[in-house]
Amino acid sequence: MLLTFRGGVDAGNKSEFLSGSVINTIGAGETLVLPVPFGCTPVVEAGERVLAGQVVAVSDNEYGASLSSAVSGTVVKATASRITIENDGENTLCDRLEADDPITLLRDAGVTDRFGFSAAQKVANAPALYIISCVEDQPYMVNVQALLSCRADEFIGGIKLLEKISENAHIVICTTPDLSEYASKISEALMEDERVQFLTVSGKYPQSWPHILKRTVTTEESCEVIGTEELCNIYRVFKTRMPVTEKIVTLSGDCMRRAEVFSVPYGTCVSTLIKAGTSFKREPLKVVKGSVMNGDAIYNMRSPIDRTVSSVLTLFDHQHRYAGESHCISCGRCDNVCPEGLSPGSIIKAYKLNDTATLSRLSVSSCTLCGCCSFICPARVNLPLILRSAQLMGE
Amino acid sequence: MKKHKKLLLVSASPHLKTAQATSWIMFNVLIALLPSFVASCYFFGRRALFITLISVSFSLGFEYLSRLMMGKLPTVSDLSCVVTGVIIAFCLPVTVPVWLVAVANFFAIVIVKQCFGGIGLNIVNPAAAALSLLMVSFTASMTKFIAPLLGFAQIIPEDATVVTTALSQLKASGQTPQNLFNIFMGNTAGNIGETSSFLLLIGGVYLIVRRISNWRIPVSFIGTVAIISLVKSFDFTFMLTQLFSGTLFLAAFFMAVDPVTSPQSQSGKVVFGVICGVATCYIRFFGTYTEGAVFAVLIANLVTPVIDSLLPVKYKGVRTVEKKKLSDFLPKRRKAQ
Ligand code: SF4
Ligand code: SF4
Repeated sequence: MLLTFRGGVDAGNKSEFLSGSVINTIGAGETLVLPVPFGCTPVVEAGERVLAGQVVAVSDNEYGASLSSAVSGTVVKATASRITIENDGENTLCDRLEADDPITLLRDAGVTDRFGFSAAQKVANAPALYIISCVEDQPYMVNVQALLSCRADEFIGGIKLLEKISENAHIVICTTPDLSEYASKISEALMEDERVQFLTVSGKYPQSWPHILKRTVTTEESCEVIGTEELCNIYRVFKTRMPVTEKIVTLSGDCMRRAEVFSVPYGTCVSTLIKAGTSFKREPLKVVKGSVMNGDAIYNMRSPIDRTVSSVLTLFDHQHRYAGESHCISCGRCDNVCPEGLSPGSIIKAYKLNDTATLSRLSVSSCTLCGCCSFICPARVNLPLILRSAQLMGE
Repeated sequence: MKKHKKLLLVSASPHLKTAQATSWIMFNVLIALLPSFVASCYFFGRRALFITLISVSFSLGFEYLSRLMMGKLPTVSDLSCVVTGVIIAFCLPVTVPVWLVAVANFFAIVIVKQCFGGIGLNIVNPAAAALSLLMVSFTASMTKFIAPLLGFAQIIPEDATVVTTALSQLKASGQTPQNLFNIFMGNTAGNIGETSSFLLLIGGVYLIVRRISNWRIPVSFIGTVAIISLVKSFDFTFMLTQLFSGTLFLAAFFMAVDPVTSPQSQSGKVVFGVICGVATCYIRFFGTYTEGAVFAVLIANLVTPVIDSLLPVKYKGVRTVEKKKLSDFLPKRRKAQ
């Protein structure tokens, strides 16, 4: 049975990870630029020497996680927003993580999901239910597919570990129909396991967002969503006792013949990743850091990849351009696809009239800026842009 | 990979948009109008084709030129002006002089649509407004109906006599037509594209099935006309003549459903349809004009802001399709076993 939620858009599957492909590794470049995650403070200073795996920024609250350097070298610059590290090429490793307590271990290792939330905190919440998100809901992105095909053993190991850490918790593994091939392999391995259950959820965007996935699967309050990569990382940390310093990134888009997946050290710049790509067929007009539905179009190719960047897309198609934006024709399509039950069409009208009373009546603050409305809009109105302004006006 | 010499394009997300743009919607409306168009060429001969094509050319030309003069980006490619052109032609008698077609399109495109800011900003349906103007100002030309010619190559004979439509007969003498089936299929005197209620119904249903137009407006519009006619006469033939003759189906399925000029909320759409229906019946039964559907749409368009403020769109809130409690996960019997 296919579980789903109300709203959302079917953005189509535009790229495939060829089975038999591998997750390529990219070596760290000369310099790494680590953006300090939101809510974190750098703990190194310019001129200081760091080892590979050494913590360079710690989180101020329990929801974030600390950040480690991927290489050994010298800190060139450390500001509140960025840490620049010169790679000495020696890759001297720091000491292994000693902590016995799994939560401390995960926290020290900086395991997070793709939104930057700490896995340690999720485990510490001791949920009654873990939802493992193996959901691919956007075109071009193939991270989950690649992980399930190349790192299935780590995935299964991660499940077993979670069961060990949280003794009473149940685990639900959610997959989309197009990943069923991989899911069946994993379910064979976990056949005997009484606490693991498999569910198939729709591949509609934004199915992979944790709050949407929770809403789709259960009404249980005490539940935590763990991503595929996050789970593999949990397993790796327990096995190697080294912090996470690499991110799985899909390099894809309509300028490439097929999707390629890389394991990229934190702080590598986008241009390094693009240079590593082998299946380009034309020059991109637009480079997007992040996913096609809510990533950022970048103009500076030296922009670094951090733990929230799951894909880098090189886009060409004219469809991606602004052309044809007109005034809203009130067609109501955006109202039908909003997963939060909002009426974006009416919100933008109220915004243009500076009508804050109507804005709050329409609950503009519940907009998650997912972009479904903008995707579906026939008049090509750029709704999230206006919705964000409307949110600020409503506050 | 070569180095990027060109500057990269930057824009806000999402970076992918549906292929179903405004032009796709309008193209589907044109497809929905196609059966009636083919039938009209059969019923009224070559001149029906000529009038429709000339009307579309005028609307395209006026749209392009007015955008050019205002220094705005061209919007011809969204095809909305083509739809307007076709609908205007469909509501004209086949004997209409060409200059009148030009006047109608000028008024619709330049005055009603572009002067208010173009697509999405017009307060009334351009076609409905232009046709109302013509009906009020050039009543004689607008009511010169001829009997169907039946043949694609037919030209209007010199001695063609002006006949009355089933609706005006009904109004003048209370005499219901002999052959209701002919009227339903379109083999009757009337405007170019409006005679075949059957084919317009097919087109309208196509749009509703493809979720391009909302069923609430046509259903409540036609339903209201049906109920009022039935209550007035207690006669089914009378009611069906009211439904199948005249511009009702064209107005209900192609003018009233225009989302720009109809209310946003679902309940508002029903009220809108009812207002259209009541106004149509009022004009048909008590007014001097025999046909009121186009006027009715125009009137309802103007009431739309009031309906919108009385029946505003509400925050729907989150609703899940399926809810599972933790206990649903507890009994561990996997189906595969
Ligand atoms: S961006 Fe906001 S309004 Fe638009 S679909 Fe997403 S949640 Fe709804
Ligand atoms: S989808 Fe676009 S055109 Fe349609 S109502 Fe929403 S904003 Fe307006």
